[in-house]
Amino acid sequence: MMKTLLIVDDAAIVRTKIKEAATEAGWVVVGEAKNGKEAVELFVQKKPLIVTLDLVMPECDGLQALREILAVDPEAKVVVISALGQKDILKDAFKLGAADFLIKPFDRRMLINTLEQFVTEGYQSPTRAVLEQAV
Amino acid sequence: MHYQHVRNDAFARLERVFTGANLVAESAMRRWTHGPVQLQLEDIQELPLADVHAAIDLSDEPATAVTLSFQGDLGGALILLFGKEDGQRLAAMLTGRSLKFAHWEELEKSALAETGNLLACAYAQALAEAVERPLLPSTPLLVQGCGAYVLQEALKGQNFLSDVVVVCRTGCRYEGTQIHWWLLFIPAEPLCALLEEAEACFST
Repeated sequence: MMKTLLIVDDAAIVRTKIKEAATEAGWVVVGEAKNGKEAVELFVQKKPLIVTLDLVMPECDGLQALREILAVDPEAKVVVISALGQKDILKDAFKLGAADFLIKPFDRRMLINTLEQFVTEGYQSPTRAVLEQAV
Repeated sequence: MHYQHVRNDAFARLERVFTGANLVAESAMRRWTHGPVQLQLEDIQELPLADVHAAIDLSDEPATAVTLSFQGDLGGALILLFGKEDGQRLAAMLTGRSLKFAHWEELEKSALAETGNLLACAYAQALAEAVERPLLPSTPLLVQGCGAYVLQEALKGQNFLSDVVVVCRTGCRYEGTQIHWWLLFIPAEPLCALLEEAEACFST
């Protein structure tokens, strides 16, 4: 299975850090988007295995993009990314169908573990379990 | 009116909130940089809005401000302010690129804005826990230019929130590099009132 990734974040430094870590771990970054609108367009074009999606962005926020991506492909694996203290928006994302989440700032190990669960048979994300309980 | 509100017990509580927030911010900075960052809250003082320019001596020096406002009914704003060299050192630390870059490129600007975002979220979380209400920071707005201009732009409109500013001077140490910044907190009246009422959170 080709490990393909679409990175969505308005912050260039975050996109760069995710790209560096994911590439080192054998993922192929098929696209980078700065906002939700670009994210949906690139998702349709590239059909990545995973999307990392920032939730708070200035244009077309992450929740709207999540809705649109899941409308295109209800099986899409979207890992949402939020900052500390944004529990409510994270819960909304999970209710909409986000596959997992990361809290900024995250380290490389956390990112890679989260991505790898989708290509590792039988792996269950501890973060997802936390969120399932919260919701 | 706000000045009197914050001067009393609420300011002592704010000091304790910010000291706690600094620990959360330090932990966040360690994850963000993958390194042994130490943050120290060197000084915290409350100033009338009109005195902030005199207290922060950045008049002709190039500077960067990252401004975030709290969305929702409590209001308030946080401004992170870097002098030229401190901003360059922080950007270099985060990007791994040269300290002596001539122009701020998107990656360097983004590094400072994102640092402002994570520090603001750490402080917002500590404040939210103190007042037991959610505080969601907006996306960061970055302003660059000469210090006086940057400060003026960052503070523009803040007098609608409050006439007092809490100014924190913070030191950041990372592998022998020392970086300083100012964090300005402008609490709106509803947030001030809640901080005064939040005694239970500070009783231990």
